[in-house]
Amino acid sequence: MNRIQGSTKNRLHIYLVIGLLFFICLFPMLDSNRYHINMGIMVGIFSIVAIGFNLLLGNTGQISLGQAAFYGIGAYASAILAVKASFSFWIAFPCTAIFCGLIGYILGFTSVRFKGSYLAMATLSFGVIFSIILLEWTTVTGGAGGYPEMIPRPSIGAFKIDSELKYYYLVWAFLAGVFIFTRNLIKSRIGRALYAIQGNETVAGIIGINPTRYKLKVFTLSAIYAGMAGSLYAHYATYISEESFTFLFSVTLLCMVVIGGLGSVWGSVVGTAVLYLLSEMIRYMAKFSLLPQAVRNVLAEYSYLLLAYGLFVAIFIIFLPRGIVGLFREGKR
Amino acid sequence: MEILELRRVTKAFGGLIAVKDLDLTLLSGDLLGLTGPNGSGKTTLFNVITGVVPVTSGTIIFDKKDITRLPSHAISKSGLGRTFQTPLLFSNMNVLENIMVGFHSITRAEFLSTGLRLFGSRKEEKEMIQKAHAIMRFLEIDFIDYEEIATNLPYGHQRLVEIGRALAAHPKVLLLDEPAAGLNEQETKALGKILYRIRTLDVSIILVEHNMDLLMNVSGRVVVINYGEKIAEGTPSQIQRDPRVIEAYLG
Repeated sequence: MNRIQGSTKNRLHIYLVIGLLFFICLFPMLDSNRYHINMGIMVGIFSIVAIGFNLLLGNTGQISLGQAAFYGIGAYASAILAVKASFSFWIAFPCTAIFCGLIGYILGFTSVRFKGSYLAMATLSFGVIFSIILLEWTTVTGGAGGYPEMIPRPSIGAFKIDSELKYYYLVWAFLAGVFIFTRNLIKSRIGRALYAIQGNETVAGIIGINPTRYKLKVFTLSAIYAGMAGSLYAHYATYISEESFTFLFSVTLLCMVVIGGLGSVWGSVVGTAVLYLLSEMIRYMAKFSLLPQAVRNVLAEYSYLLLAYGLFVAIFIIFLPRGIVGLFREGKR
Repeated sequence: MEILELRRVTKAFGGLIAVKDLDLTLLSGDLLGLTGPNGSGKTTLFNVITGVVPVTSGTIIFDKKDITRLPSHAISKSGLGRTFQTPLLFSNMNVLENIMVGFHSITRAEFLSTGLRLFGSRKEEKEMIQKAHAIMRFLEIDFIDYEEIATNLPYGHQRLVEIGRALAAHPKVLLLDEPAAGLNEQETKALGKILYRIRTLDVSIILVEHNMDLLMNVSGRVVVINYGEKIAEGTPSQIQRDPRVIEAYLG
């Protein structure tokens, strides 16, 4: 596909995108099963985090294993602002995004100079420290029991976003904004600078790109996205606890973008959807009484799910390095 | 007028002195040929000038400004472009994008304006596409499929794309590291023509080259270095008669 002119030689590709868009817009109206809409909401929320993470990993070539922490900071910050300061969602949300951006900037400032596995270690330890803080700082976070008070659902004036259906559209509207913003970014001067940094930092410097500066900016932006998603999650779930923001989520994100397609915004969304649905399917099958008990026990075990993720990633990296969306793109990148 | 001046520049890697007390002056509008046996420190010199490796001692003045300790992106922004001995194009971008990324230091649109596709960034992007095509015409590589991944091109074309990427930033000085290596006779001739054409853009050039025919043809002055030290400097005809040069190459 030609990214410069935005046109595509591949008709199938266009139809597929149109079909997907229709599906995304109409599915919660056609399918009133609350459980399914809930999955749609979670895919939307995770996709926002994944898009930011993919910009960092797939476009700039920088790893972060602490993304779950930004997602968690977003959720807790939004919860505290809404409950303790009685901020409405519409004020708590941007405050949270800015706050996460700030934390991302500070962490980035100290760690973007690290390369490869060193950056992975630095961000990983940030994530682990965050988990510990969530568990130990009980006066603020509620500790292992989760945030003690109910986080209110958002409303616009008298219009309350109280149903799953309404929340679905709220989440996907934000996702659409993040999606379009990121896609524009990737196709621009900035996107090329990021690709240059991913390709070869020395050469990027030679042509006038300041790698440290751009890495820091992308780091901050991905933290902002994660914070936004965290805020959306807190106000949707109304209850949050540490389990949702552990290292496991950071690893799941990695799997999502690899499976969907590194460096592709569509890839982030598709990968998130596929992996999320897969994990839900496995969870569903674990309760499926026709299966032998031994199989169900294995399926119910979370660590086996991770094993499956690992296998998936290995298979994709070997056979489909451009992810699922790579299948529908013409073979140049 | 001097556009680039090296004063007693030394670069040592531990005990190995790759460049030793080198003085070098590039006059504005000139094409300075730089040659010397393999391992004589030519590429290291380029790395030192462009800030890829830090200088051990000495001063580098570019366009009346001391650039000795600047990071390479700042040096590049002040108007110094370069190519590499083996073309280093980005394998994650196509040919046109590889040239367009060269516009980085003379364009402005940042995260917010590109993400929101504000008018200024759209206009800038359009201009970049047009200018990148113009550069391809200028270098006579407009017949190449510009959507091809740049590193899939034949070597000779990659070199020209790399020169195009460097030219995109309107450099005042261009450092070319063995652009004729791996080119056949016909391609080398075409390269010579293109070097002349680049000079018409008011770009001064330092050309590192082993191909003596090309070097002697296009250079105004030639500097020969060996073991990191300057052993001769002069017009091409002076250099060809210089006994120290002959010794360095034959002895």
